[in-house]
Amino acid sequence: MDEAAFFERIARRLGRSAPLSAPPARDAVGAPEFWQAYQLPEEERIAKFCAELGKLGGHAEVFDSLAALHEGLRRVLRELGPRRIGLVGGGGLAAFALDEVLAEWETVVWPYAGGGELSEEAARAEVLRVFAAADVGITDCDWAVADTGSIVIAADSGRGRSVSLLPSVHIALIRSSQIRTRMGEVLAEVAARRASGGMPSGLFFITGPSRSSDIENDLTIGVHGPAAVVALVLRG
Amino acid sequence: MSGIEQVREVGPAQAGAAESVAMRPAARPGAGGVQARARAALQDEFLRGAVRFTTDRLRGRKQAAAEELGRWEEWRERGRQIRAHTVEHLDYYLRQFVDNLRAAGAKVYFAVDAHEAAETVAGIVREKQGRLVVKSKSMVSEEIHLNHRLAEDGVEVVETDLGEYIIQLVHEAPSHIIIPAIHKTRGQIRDLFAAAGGEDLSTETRDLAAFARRTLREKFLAADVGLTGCNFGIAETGSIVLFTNEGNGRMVSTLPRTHIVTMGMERIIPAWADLEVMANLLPRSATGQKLTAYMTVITGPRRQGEIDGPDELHVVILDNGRSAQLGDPAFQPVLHCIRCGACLNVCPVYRHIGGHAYGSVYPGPIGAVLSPLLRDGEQYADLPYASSLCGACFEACPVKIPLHDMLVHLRQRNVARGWVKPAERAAFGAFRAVFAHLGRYRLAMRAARILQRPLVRRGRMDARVGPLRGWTQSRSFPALARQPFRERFPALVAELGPAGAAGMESAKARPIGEAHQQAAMRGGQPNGVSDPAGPAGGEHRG
Amino acid sequence: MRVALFITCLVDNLFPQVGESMVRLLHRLGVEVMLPAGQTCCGQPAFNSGYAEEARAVGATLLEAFAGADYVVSPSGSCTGMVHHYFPELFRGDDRAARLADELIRKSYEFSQFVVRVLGVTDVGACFPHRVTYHPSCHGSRLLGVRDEPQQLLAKVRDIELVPLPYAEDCCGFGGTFAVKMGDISTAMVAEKAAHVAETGAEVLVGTDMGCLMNIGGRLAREGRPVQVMHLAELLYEGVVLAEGRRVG
Repeated sequence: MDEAAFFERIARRLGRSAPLSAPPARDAVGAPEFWQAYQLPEEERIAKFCAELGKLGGHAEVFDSLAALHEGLRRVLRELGPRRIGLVGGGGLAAFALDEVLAEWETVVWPYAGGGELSEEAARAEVLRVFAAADVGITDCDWAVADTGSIVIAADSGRGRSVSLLPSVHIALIRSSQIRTRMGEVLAEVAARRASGGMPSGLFFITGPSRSSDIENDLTIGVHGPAAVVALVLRG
Repeated sequence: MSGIEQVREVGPAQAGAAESVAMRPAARPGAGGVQARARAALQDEFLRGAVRFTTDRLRGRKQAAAEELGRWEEWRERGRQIRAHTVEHLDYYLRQFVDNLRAAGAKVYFAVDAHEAAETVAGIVREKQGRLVVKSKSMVSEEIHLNHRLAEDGVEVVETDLGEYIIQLVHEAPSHIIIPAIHKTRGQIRDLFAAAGGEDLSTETRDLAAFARRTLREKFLAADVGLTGCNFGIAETGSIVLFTNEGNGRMVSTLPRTHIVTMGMERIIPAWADLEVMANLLPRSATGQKLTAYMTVITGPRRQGEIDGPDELHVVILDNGRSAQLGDPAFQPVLHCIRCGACLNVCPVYRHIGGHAYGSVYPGPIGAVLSPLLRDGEQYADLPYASSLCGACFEACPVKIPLHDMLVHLRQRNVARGWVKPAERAAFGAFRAVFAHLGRYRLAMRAARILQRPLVRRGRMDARVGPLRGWTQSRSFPALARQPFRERFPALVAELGPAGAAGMESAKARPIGEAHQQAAMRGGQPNGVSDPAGPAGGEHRG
Repeated sequence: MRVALFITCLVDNLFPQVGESMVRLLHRLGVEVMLPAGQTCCGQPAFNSGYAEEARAVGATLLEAFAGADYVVSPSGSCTGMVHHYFPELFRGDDRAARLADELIRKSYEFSQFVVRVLGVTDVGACFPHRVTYHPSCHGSRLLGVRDEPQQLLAKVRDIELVPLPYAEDCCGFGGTFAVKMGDISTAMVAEKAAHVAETGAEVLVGTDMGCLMNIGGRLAREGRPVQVMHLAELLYEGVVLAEGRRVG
C-alpha cells in the first residue's frame, strides 16, 4: 500500500487531519520510578547475577585474578572434553590471554590464517561452518544483568552472533564491572549510543540455556541454542 | 563442576518455564459456530486434560513471577500507560520507527490487508530466489496465511519452534498459544519424527528434542530466508525486539542471508527505556519467566565488517483491520495487546474448550475480541458469546485491556447490526416491556408462579424442555418462590419493629424452617445440615 | 440508620429467604431497612447480551426507586457491580439519569461490603458449627472490588470450619444468559466447580451472589451431592440465632 495513504489513514482515525510530526509529550517513560532507583552494591550485584543464572540451569563462578580464571576455564573445559572450541579473535577476548589455556584443545580462532582471503560471502559461510562445528564457543561480553542473570552481547563488537549461538556450550568471560543491577541500565547505555550513530545491529540478552517444553510440557534444554551457559566472572 | 554436567544432561531446571514466549497461531477458521466446535472439544478428554494441566502451571508460574517482582499493579499500570500513549500517537511513533528502520538499512513495506502482506513477502522471497524459508513463531504470519501463500510458489517453509514443527509435520493447527502441540502425546510425536526420518527414537523428551535439533539445524544452515515476527518495535532507533526461548528466533535472524519481519502496525514502543517495562511484563505473563532465554534487539542488517548476520532486512508492516479500531473508545485499547497469552491461561472457557474451538487464528478471550474486530463480518460474530464475562482476562492482562467490557460491546454491535436471532431480540423486548414497569413485573411474576407448577418437583425444575434446557440439561433450576420477597416484606417489618430493639425472636419467626424446605432447591438434601438452632446444633458447642 | 434494600429480581422471586435473613440481620445491627417499591432489576441480563436500550429502560427503575435513599444495600455483588461498573456508560447523555446513577454508585453497597465497610462490623455474633467453603463471585470481586469482606465476616463466626475452595476464583459458568446460550461450556465449568466444592468435604457452600449459587447448587443437586448452598446473609443470620439460642439455653 502507498505509504502516505497508510499513515493518513491512521492519523484520520485518530482524529488528526495529517500525521503528527512533533513528538507528543509523555509523562510515564520507562520503568516505574521505584524500579529505576533499584541499585545493588557491587558485591551483591555479582552474587545476584550468579544466583539468577544458576536458577536457570546456567553456571557462574567468580575469580579474583586472571590466573585463577584461567585455572577455572581449564577445569571447565577438561570436564566438558570438547572436540573443538571456537572463538572470535581480537577484541575484548584478547585481554583475557587465553592462548596458553586453550593449547590443550583443538581451537579455531576466527579469522584464521587464510580466512581473510575469502570473499565476504564465502567468509560469512565459513564463519557459520566453523561455529556450527564447534562444541564450545567462548566469548567476552558487553554487559551482564544481575537481576535476570543475563549476559549481553552486541553484534558490532567484533565477536559476531553465531559463536554464542551455534555451539552446544557457551562460555562467557565477564568483568565484574560490566554487571549492572537491572536491564534498564544496559538499555540506557545502548540508547545513548544512538547520538554517536553507534547502534549495534544486533543486541543479544542471553539468559541461561536454550529451553522448550513443547513435548508434553516437559522441560528440555538445548533445543536450538546452547544447552549450557557458563559465566566466568573476573573481579575488576 | 557438577552444575555443568547437570545442564548437559538436560537436568530438570530449578526455575523458569521452557516455552517460547513469542507468538503462536491458533486454528484456521473452522466450519460451524463456536458452539459446535466447543461441543466437539468438550468430548476430547485428552485435550481438556492437557489444557488444564498446562494452563494451571502457567497460571501458577505467572502468579509466582509477579509476586517475586513485587508491586505488580504499578508495573501493569505503567505497561498500560506506555501502550496507550503509543497507540494514541501511533502516526508519530510509527513514522519515527519507519524512518529509523530505513536509516539502519532496512527495507520497509506497508500492507493494508492480509492478502497484500502475503504477496509482499512472497515477492521478496521470489526476488531473493529463496527455495527454503525458516520461520520462528509469528502470529501475524498466521494471520496472513503466509505458509500457504509461499507453498503456492513452491517454496519450502519450515517452522522451527519445536511445537510448531510437530504441528507442521502432522498438518494441524496449534491448539494452545504457548504449547501448540499440547494435544500430541510423546508416542505420537515419536511416530511423526520417525516418518520424518528419525530412526530408532525413544519417546524420551531428550531424544525427541535432539532429533528436532539435528533436523532443524540443517534447515537453519541451508535456508535462504529467515522469517520472524516482532514483539516490539522501538521507535527511537527502528529496532526489532524478539523474545524467544529455544533460540530459533536467533537462528532465523542470524543464519539466512535475508531476514524478513512481519509485524502488526501497533507493535511499537517509543523508547529503549520502555523495553524494560515490556521485558518485565511479557515473559512473566506468558510463561512465568523473569525473562525468556533470548531477548534479541535487531537494528538493521549486518554492518560492514561484521562477520555474520543477514545481509538484508525487510520489514512488512500490516494494518489488516487495526486502523479501524483507532479512534473508537470502546475498541482502541485492543491494540495495546502484547500477545502474552495470559488471558487464555486464566480463562475458564478456554480451559474447557481449548484453542481450536475459537476457530480463529487468535484464540481465548483476546481472540474472541480481536478476531471479530480485525475481520469485521459475521464470520466471528459468535465468538464474543463464548465468555461468561467473569473478568479473569482483564485481571490477568499485563496492560489492563478491559476485554470483558469489549466482549459486551461486541455483543452490542451484533445487536445494532441485526446479527442476532429474532427470538433473542423478542425475548429482550419482552424483558424490557415487563421489567421496566412495576405493574407488569408483578403481574408477570404472578403468572409465572402459576405456569411453572406442572414443572416443579420438590422446589426445583429438572425437565429438559423449553427455553431453559441449556440449563436444565445439566442442572436443576429453582422454582419461583410461592410468595416473592416484596409481598412478605410488610409483615416482616411489622414483626421486627424499630431497629435495634430486637430481642430474642421466637422460633417460628426464624427462616430456618423455610431454609430447610428450600434446601433441596438450593442443591443440598434437606438433612444435609442439621438445624443449627435446634438441640443438635446446641450440642456442638465446645 | 436507614437503608434502602436493592433486593434484585433473583432474590425477590426465587430466594426471598435470602432477603429475609439480610433484613433480620441488618435489623439486629441497628439498621432500619426500607424496600422502595419501584425497583425491578438492574438490567444486567439484557446489558450483558448486548441489549443496551432494554437494559437502560429496566435499570432506570433503580434510579427512580433509590433517588431518596441514604444507603442502598443489595444481596448481590453482581447486580451492585452492574450499577457501579456499567451504569455511567448506560446513562451517559441523559443528564438527570447520569446524575442519579452517579449518586446511586456512591451510596450503594453489596451486603458484606456494607456490613464491614459502612457499619464497621466484622463479628455479627454468629456461631455455625459446620464445615463451610466460600465461592467468591466474579462480578463481586472483579467488577465491584469485594475481596476480603465476606472472609472477614466468616472468620469471626464461632465454631465454623472454613475450608478453602480449590480454584475459588474460577468462574462457576453462570454468566447470566451464557449458562443457557452456551449451555455445554457452562455445564463443563459448573461441573468442575461442583467437583471442587465436593472435594472440600464442606457441608455448606456459601457465597454472596444467588446467580452463582443457583448455578452451582443446581449442579450439586443434579449430582445428588449433600452440600447445602447458602447466601452469606443466611449463614450469618442462622448463626446469630444459634448463638443466641445457646446463650439463652
